[in-house]
Amino acid sequence: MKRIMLPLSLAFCLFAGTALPSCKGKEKKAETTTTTTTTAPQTDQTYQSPVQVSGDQQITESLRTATKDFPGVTATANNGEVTLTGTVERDRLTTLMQAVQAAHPGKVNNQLTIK
Amino acid sequence: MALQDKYSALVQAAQQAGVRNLQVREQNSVLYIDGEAPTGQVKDQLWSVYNSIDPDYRSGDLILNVNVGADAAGKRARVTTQESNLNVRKGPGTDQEIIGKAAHEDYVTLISKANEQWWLVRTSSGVEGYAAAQYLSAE
Repeated sequence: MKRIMLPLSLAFCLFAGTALPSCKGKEKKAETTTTTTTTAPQTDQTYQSPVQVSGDQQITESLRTATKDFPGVTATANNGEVTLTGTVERDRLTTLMQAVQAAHPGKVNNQLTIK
Repeated sequence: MALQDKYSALVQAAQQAGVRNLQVREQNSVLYIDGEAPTGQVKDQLWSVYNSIDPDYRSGDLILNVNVGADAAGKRARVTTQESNLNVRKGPGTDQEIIGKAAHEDYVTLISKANEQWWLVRTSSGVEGYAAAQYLSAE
């Protein structure tokens, strides 16, 4: 429920912030305009597109699922680079790595102690 | 090119096993191999090759992201948890309510792929919900 309340309250704040001033008076006009500029990524025109590395927030979310059943493992993401620390059994290492590498990280540093 | 040489056996294995949309890219001293495996067995086979080239995945120079593709929908998948039952959830996320369980080593039917982490599945008892892809091995 809390997880729902936060986005809801954020959405209300956004709504209130944009909609409510218009009720205050006609003299107040919107003075700011939001401009969104999209910059096309500079890609060299090779036959392959560059590797898309996910953002840290998205990677962290995926890592949470990946490491849920690995209580001895800590996974952190920093600038797309994932670092694994802690302890894991060797016969479960592949399962863990499969899930971690599916999170679209840029790199995985395996610093795990393997039993 | 050194990395492509190091992992050439892996790329070859992927090609031979019929991995679709196979992409092999090198960027910032990391090799990225992406594609869609026809079955979970193929995926495991590739990981076995990966582990033989880079024991315990220590080098940090490869991201192997070959997962069972969305076209596995409709197929059966084995529940490959360590020993526990697999949670089936209302939505794709560990914060989602658990609405059922799939037994260890039981089979589920893949309905659709939500993302890299989650499949919508139907359990043998008929419950439909989301299960973590890492514990499903498509047949």
